[in-house]
Amino acid sequence: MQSSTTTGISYCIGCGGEVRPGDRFCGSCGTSLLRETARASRDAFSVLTPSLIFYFVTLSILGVYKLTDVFDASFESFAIVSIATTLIVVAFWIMAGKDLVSLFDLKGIRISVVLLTIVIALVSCLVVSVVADFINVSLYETTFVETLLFEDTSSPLLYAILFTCVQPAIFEEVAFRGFLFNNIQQITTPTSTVYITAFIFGIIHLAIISMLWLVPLGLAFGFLRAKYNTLWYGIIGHFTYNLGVVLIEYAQTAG
Amino acid sequence: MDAVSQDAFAVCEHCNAINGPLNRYCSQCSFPIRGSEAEQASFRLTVSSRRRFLDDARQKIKSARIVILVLAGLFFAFGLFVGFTMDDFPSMVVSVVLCFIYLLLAAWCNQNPFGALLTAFIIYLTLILINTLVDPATLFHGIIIKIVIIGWLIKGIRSAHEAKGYLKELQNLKAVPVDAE
Repeated sequence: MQSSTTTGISYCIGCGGEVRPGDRFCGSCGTSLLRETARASRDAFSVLTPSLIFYFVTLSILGVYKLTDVFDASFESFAIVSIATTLIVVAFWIMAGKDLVSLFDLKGIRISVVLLTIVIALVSCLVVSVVADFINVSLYETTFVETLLFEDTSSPLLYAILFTCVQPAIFEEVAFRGFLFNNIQQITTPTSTVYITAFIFGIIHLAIISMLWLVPLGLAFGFLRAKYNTLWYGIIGHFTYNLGVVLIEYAQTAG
Repeated sequence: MDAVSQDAFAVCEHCNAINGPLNRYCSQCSFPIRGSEAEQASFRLTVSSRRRFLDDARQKIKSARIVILVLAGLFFAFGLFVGFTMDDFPSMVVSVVLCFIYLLLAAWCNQNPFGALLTAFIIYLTLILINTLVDPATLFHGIIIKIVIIGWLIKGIRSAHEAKGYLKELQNLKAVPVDAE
């Protein structure tokens, strides 16, 4: 960074003195030649403020919906909450601006990874449906929806797919693998960013048993995001998984 | 003759690197090998102050880790209490799961204190928020203990972040403490 090392001889940017390859500091003036100089680190919480605000605002809305009597169990209530949380994601999406554009780049998307993601998502949702059946938990908890919620709408399957497959696949991925991921990655390693985002993705659904599969799911999408620097695999995987859940629930209710 | 050979090469007394005749500063650790006594003392002061900051930060991380372990213990005790005296088995399962999660975080804290403490902090605030939504009066139950726990976790998170910076700085100055991996 600070000295050109491509040619044999390089010069210190501090004093213009000659530096040998392998030098870590300039011998004449003591200026650091290291690529990674220790910067005065910003306070951890001032970096994390956007993430914490997003998390606790969204958690409050979901908590009020799920744990209090403010909203009833109707489709209208669900739609209001769903739209409110979506708008919050959109607000943070706009604030993140250019930072998220490269994550939507279609260049470099590999069909083999897409197909593998789809297959693994379908297998996982089958496995989870067996486990959930065994421990007697509604599979819909994974997508934050009560069974039969869409029953009274004009087109139950359409609304179910729209609200529990399309919406989460796009907006949960943009949040947890998009701006939250970018924000947390500013102050810690990519691997721990994957762990932290997977964990908060798990708890924000407010279903403690479902965390058994929500956290691994979040880890999978997080690793895809960290490895390939794109949101597409996560979006495709998330959509496929949730679609599988909806279709299984639909088949079970119909049958 | 003797003076010339001393001028030709200088072994850095801070990191033992061999420096050329023109170097005023060590090319490996920036110690002022041919600087004044005051300059050398100021270099040593920088190193020792960074070491002290790092030790301080590590102490706070340790305290925060103990807070996590105490919380794990409290969840376990609470789980057993509601399970066996009130027959509230769902609450018992949740408490035991939380105890388990906090034990995992305490273990992770040794590898990555920042990630572990941040996750523990978020979970703790989430629990307070959820309990407050279900029953607003619970917010004030043990409010002082809650504030102390949150304060300790916040200090730990800040320190874990700062410790990485101090360690990096000491590594650059070739002055890594012996106990650092």
